[in-house]
Order: sequence, then structure tokens, then C-alpha cells
Amino acid sequence: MLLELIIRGITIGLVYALMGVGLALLNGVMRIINFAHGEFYMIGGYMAYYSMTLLGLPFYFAVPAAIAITFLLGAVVEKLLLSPIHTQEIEKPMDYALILTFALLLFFRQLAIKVFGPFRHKPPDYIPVDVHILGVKISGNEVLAGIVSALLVLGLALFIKKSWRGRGWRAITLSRKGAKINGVDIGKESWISCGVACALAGAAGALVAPIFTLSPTIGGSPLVKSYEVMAIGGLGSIAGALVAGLMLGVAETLGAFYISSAYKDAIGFLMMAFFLLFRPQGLFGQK
Amino acid sequence: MKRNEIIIATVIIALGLIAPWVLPSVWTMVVSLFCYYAILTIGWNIIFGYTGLFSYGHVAFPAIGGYTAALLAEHIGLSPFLGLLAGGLAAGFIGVLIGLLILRVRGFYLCLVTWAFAEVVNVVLKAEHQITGGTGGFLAPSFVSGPNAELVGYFIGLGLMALAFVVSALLYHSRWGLYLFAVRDDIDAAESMGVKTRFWKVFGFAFGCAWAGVAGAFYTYYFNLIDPSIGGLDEMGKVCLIVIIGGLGTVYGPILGSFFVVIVAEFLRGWVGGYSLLIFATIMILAVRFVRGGFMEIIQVISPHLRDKYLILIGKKYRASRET
Repeated sequence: MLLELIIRGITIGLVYALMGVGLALLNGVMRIINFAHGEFYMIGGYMAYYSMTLLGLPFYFAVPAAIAITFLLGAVVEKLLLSPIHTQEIEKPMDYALILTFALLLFFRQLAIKVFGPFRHKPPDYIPVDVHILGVKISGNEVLAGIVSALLVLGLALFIKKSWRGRGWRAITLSRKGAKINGVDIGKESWISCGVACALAGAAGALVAPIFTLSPTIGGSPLVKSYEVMAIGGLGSIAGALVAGLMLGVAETLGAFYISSAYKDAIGFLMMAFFLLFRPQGLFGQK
Repeated sequence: MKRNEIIIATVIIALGLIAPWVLPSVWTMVVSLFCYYAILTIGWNIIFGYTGLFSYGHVAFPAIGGYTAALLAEHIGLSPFLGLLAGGLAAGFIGVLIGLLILRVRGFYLCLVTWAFAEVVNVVLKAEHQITGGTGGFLAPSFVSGPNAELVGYFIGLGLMALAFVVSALLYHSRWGLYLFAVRDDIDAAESMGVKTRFWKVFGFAFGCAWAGVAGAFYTYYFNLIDPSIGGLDEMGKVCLIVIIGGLGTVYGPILGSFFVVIVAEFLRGWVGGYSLLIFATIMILAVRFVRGGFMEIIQVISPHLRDKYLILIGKKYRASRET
């Protein structure tokens, strides 16, 4: 039983890490936080659902399609609404982004209720067979979600570490002015990184759509989890987000089973509050 | 208080006093809801607009105030009028504790800590259903029993809203208000000028929370029911929406915003159907993107022009307005 809980916790923790990494990236490059992150998760799930049911695509096309659409959506949001942060001088960019993305959260949620309908949808299973790991039976969907999430997180980490664009992002994270002087186009990198961050959320949503069913309000819980992951792992740290996601996933599954399922959501919040108050730089962050 | 504020407060009270005899009876409830949101958002305006602390857990405080009031009325039979006070004091006390806790964090971290607090409160309210009644809610008595209960509740709400408005206007023009603004605008400069920033931060936070607690207690006694949904994220969205649409950090902002979000939305319900929140979210996005001051800024920009037009109309020189 313990083993099963831990394996389940790790799978869900990888998805949390995928959500948290997107936020960490956005926080590093744009110095803002996105309250609409969970809504991109919801949109990604719906896009995968519609490309499978309406267009009849198999899942290995439907998930990339969802990722592409959320990437474009994120880029458009950045271009239209968030770009004043680096083009105009706004007195308090963090407050501006907080309020604006919160308005976006309400907007996307209400729009989803009108467009997709308030009912629950469930896309067909991606992998309709069960997999046995160490004698524990787990559905293929969960295995797929865990593996693809891990690959995406590792891929992003490699991209940031190795590629020129990733170097530019790291430069912006360290010093915005310094990056500008050395020829990094902040406007361009901002919309690309915002698109990537939103696409990661969309990927998470698309991957877990067959496990948790879809409804317009599912964005709330992953939003909360991604903040917890980011706060525990440290702002802007990808390794921290990965470890924090796994910690959170396992702690929650174990807590829900051994302590009380009603207090499942409180576990993450208490962990987050503890870290914010007593170790504000997070697990791996520097002061 | 400035002359305009006295006039507006008087007009609101006068309109509120005649409303039950002019409007159909369902509107008493809508206007009471307006009073609830106005008190709640005046509290948030003090926290964020005056003191600059971005609290995302503001809706936890009406829940705390409301449950305190309901539980006290149920178990020790406290009078609802004292219950309002008890709700406000309980929320204010928790506000002091949270305010002391968030002295350690700034900006975005503050937002996360307060949000975490609100969610934990919500989870506890749902989980401890032997005490709080869980998601089904908890019943509470009315202000007075009898056929006039609703009308009495309405007048109490109106009075509380007027009180909250007057207090926030007095705070805005007082020395205490200046301390709060100093903390908001430049905390280091305020510190170096000898403002006790730690004290004023906690004071601003707890004062706003106490008003939220009063609002929650009023809600509980008026609707005779409190459930955990008044502490949810959607409610926080509404609070945010009201203050941003009305005008952040202004005296009239919360009243104006509540008027649009509660009363105008109710008027338009027939035409816009379920789209009102979508429309308000769009307005909020546009307001934040283009007019950061909300409706108050629009009014402030337009009003000199209107005054000029008016002066020309009554035959005075155009220049007259420029001198004032």
C-alpha cells in the first residue's frame, strides 16, 4: 500500500513540477507571476479533448496540438496585455501583473463556461491498458503523464542550460539591464518565454485530462499547486521545482491516506507558508 | 472630511432610506448585498489601496467574522448587535496575528502567504463539519424576529456601510492615513522619516480585516446562513474587481465599484443573462491595461470639463473654474 501511494505521489508530483517550472520560468524572465496559469492548464485539457473527439486525432498528435495552441495563446496574452511591463515604465509591475492575470483568470473561466459548457468531459484514454510497476497496478495514462512530464521538465532544463536562447533567458534573470546591453531582445524573449510557460501548463492539462475529468473550473487546484511548488522550490529554480513537485505529490498522497483526506489541500499550503516564512529563498534558492 | 464626501454620504443614506418604499421588495436584498460588498471592499481598499499590502486572503475574514457571530449566537445566545462587534473583533484579532506574521515578507510572497491562510481557513471550515456545518452552512438568527426582520437588517446594513464610508474617509484625510500612504509609497523613506512602519502595516491590515469581519457578521445575520463559499477564490475575484473598477486607493472607489458589480449587474441581468461576470472581467482587464485608476480616474478627468460646461451654461466666465 505504501509503495502504491508513493508511486502515485511521484506521478502526480511530476505533473505539479511541470506546472511549477512554467511559473518559475515566467518569474525569472518577466519578474511577474501569473494567476491565470491554471486556466492555461484547463484550456490545454480542452484542446486535447476537442482535437481527439472533433478532429479524431490520436493522442500523440492531440497533446502536441494542445501545447501549440496554449503556446500561441500565452504569446498573444503577453503581446497584448503584459508587454507594458517592459515597454512602458509601470510603477509597480508586480501589482499590475497580479491584478491583470487575476482578471484573466476570471475571464478565461467565465469564457470556458460559455464556450465549453459547464458539464464534465472526459477524453478517451490515451493508453487503455494497465501497467505493473514493482507489483503495483497503475493505469497507462498515469504512467504516460508522469514520463512525459519528466521529459518536458528535463528538456526545458537542458534548453535553458545549453541553447543560446536559454542563455539569454538566464541573462535576463540575472540582470535585465546587463542582458539588454549585451544584445538580448527583451521584448521578443518575453513573449517566447511567456508562451513556453503557458504551453507547459497546457501540456500538463492535456496529459492529465483522461485521469481527472475536464470542467471549466479545474484550473484552480493546479494553480494552487504550482504556486506551492514554486514557493517551496525557490523562485526561478528548475531543480527546486522538480524536487518540490515530487515532495508535494508524495506528501499529499500519503497525508490524504494516513491523516485525513479532508485536509489534503491544507498540507501543501502549510508547507508553503512554512517555507515562505522561515526559508523564503526556497529549497535551492540563494539569498 | 471634505464637503463632497459629506454630500455624497448624505445622498447615499437618503437614497437608501427611501429605497424600501420605492423599489420592489426584492431590491432590499440586492441593496443589502451591495452594503455587504461595500463594507468588505472598503476594508480591502484600506489594506491594499491605502497601505499597499496585496492581501489575497481578504475573504477569509468575513468567514471568520461570520462564523464567530453565528457560533456565539448559537451557543451562548449572544445578541446579534453584539455579534457584529464580536465578529469584527475576532477578525481584527486574527488580522493582527496575520499582520505580524506577514511583516517578514513583501510583495508577491505576501500575496501567497495571505492566500494560503485563506485556503487553510476554507479547508478547516469544510472539514470540521461537526462544528461549522461543513459545506451545507450554519444557521444564524436574524437581527430581530418578526415580520420586519428583513427591513431592520437592511437599515443596519445601510448604517454600517455609511459608518465604514465615513471612517475610511476620515482615515483618508487624517494623519494616520498619511502614515499608511507613506508605507505604501516608499517604505524606506517612511522609515527614515520616523514613521513606525511595522506598526502601521499591522494596523492597516488589521483595521481592514476588522471591517471585513463586521461585513461577514452582517451577512450572516441578514441571510440567516453562512457557508464556506463566502471565503472562496471567486469572492476574492469579486472584491478585487470591485475595487479596481471603482478606483484603487480612493474614498469612493469601493462604493462605486460595488454599485456597478452588484446593483447595475442586477439591473442588466435580463439582457446579459449569465454573461455579467465575463463582461466585468473584460472591463477589469481593460481598466487595468488602459485606465489604471478605474472609474474614479475617469470621473476625475471628466469632472473639470463638466464643471466648465456648467459654468458656461450659467453664464459665468470660463476662467472662473481655473481659479479654484
